[in-house]
Amino acid sequence: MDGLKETAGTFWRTCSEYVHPPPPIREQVPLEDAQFKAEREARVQAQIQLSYERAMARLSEMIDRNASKPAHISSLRVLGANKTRPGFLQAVLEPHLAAAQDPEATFATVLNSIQAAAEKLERFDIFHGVSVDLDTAARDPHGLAALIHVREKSRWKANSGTEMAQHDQSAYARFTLRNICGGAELLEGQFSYGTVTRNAFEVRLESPVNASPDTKVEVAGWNSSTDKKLWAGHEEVSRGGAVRLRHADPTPGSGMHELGWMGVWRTNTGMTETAPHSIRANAGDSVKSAIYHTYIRKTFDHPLLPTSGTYLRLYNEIAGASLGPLGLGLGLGGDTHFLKSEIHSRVVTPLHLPTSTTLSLSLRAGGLWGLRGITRPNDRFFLGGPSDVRGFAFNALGPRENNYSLGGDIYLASGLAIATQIPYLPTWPARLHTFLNAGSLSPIDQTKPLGAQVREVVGRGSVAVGVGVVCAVRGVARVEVNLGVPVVTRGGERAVKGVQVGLGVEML
Amino acid sequence: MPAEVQQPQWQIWSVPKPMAQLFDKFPLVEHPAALLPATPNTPKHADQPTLYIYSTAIDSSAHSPSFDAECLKWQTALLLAGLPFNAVSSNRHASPTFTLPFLNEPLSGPLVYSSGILKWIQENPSANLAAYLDEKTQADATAFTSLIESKIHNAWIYTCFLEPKNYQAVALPWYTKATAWPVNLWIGRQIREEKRAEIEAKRTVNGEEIYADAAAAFAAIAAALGDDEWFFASREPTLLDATLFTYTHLILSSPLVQDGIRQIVRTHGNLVQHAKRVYDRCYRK
Repeated sequence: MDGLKETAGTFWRTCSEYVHPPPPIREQVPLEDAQFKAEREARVQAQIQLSYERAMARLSEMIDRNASKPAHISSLRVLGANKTRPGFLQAVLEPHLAAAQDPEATFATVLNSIQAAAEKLERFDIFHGVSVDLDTAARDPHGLAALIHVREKSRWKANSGTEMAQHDQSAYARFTLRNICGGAELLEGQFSYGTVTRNAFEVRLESPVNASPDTKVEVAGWNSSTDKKLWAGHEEVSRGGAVRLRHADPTPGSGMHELGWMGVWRTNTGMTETAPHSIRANAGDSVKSAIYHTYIRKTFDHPLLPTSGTYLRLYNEIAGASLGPLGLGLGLGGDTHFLKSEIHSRVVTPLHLPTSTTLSLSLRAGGLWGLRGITRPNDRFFLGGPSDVRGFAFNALGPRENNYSLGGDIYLASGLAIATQIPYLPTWPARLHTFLNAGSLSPIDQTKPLGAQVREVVGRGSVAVGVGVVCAVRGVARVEVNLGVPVVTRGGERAVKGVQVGLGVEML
Repeated sequence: MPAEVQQPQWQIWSVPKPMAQLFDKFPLVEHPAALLPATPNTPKHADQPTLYIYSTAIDSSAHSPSFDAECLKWQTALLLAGLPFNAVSSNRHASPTFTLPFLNEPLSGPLVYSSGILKWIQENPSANLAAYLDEKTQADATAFTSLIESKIHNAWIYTCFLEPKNYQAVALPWYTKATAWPVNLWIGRQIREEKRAEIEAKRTVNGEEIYADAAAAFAAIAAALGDDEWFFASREPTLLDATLFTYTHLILSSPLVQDGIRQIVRTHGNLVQHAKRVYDRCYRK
């Protein structure tokens, strides 16, 4: 038991040494001898680094030696979580303590359990710092009393910022209330105002399910007005609510699932004078009640300029369908009925050539099937733009009339790019790339055979090539300046010859 | 239509000649334009102007009467003028001014709103909507038109929207048929409040007074019409006939539950005959 106490004490002392290093030794040196001083500083720093490495080596050796010594947790206390519900904390920590309370448990098991418990508490995003103390238990041989110190984050937070996306730059103000009922619930309200999303207000309430930080249930409501006059000739007002269930596995390489229901009241209004009949005919209100599922998995090594990794996004939605044949009358409601499916994928691999060359291949496809024969432009796909199929104007591919886009029901977009470091500037967050983008967007005529229409979409598309420079503005977005030409186009589409600037996060 | 090409945004310097020549070679291949997606309510005759009205018709025939007073008036005027047009069922979100009706000429730009349709008819050489015979008739017509547009219009709005049973049986299904539950209830309520405000702007909303004023107006109009076929003994129907027909047709043919106003109109046999005459001329195929 004494050995255990000594081990525990040394363990935490060494950790604290690592966190708070002893101050370096300083001597009086003549001020004019700056270089001598710098060299001496460097030597002192090297010595400190060496002593850290030795301390870590001692630590891991100590843990290895004592790992199989019997130990178990006899009590666990959490200090500093005044606003958090005790029942919630218990539900969070209990699964991790089950192994550590076993009489057969070892020191290694105890350490791992405590480590996992502390990391799980941090993932709730309601605590600033989680630190753990171990001490011997009073009347229990081989027993350890664990003490978790937490500092809670402030209850409310208000911040503002800007969001940048192609053709939609907006400013937002957000108000967040954390941990409102003591169980890591989150209430957030956001106002935004921008060039395309004219004004939007969204409120959401999120709560962990079963005291797990990886599974959350969310209820949201929004009211937004989007100005689509530039490419679609009208404005869209959207009011609705959603209930979502989200699950994200913390192990790297696994994806995020989201399953939800949304009910939206959309109004196409504010028609321009030159809008053609095909857009005017869809003016008015429509109600969509839909169930959807999203799966996203990203394994890039850099969020904006990856050199290796994959990205996959799958989206499926069913709106308004009635359940059962014979018109049993059970359905999701609303007057919009469709099946929608979409896939976005991208693979980036390093080519083993000098100057960090990478090859990026992306593929996007989507289909919309109207269950009552026709589809609405609110639900259709739009294609084209500097962050989408480069070399074409924003949303300018596919069916168009009077210079306005009507959207399509099936699309295929692909991109092939080779990116390298910029010569003589290897450390800049920018790359030089050569791209080939292709896209095709078509409506589906349900009275004609589907196979021929799909073959037409796959075989006949618009293609553009070009070169450009991609920069990553840290944490915000990717900025591209491209010089491109269209190689193949379809009648009515607007291509851009020459310089095109793109801004976005997810790009083809 | 060939693909349009946008010039580069900044023309600080002009594109050098060899590069411009190279750019001119692109695009190398041009495919025909993509087909358009299916659109509801497509006008049948693409070369004729299109009138956007409130209607329950599913085709674009001009001979299905609208259920909205303003739309029916201009639809009737266009039919009496003998001008061919498509009439598509729409809603007020389709209009840049948020009101129906409006006329969209097929190949030229500007839309013609309800205030401009009369002028549009008069400027059209092939229109034969009868003009008023002389200045006195013109003045009388103006007086009667304002009588109809105020007293009878208020009575129609009151009976259609503000009588609760009529609102449920007539106005709500007509105006919100294309909208799903629960939005249709909200839209219906919104339209009803607008109509109430429209009446309140000019007078207090009192059913008995409104109906009494309408009865007096109908009596005056029936007296002016007399036994003539059309107003002022004209040989051809004028805009006043279309205006009167709008309200008499709606009152006589709507499935009203509280139909006090219908009894008022029925007491004047010549008004009923007049409405039938205009209907046979325009809407019976």
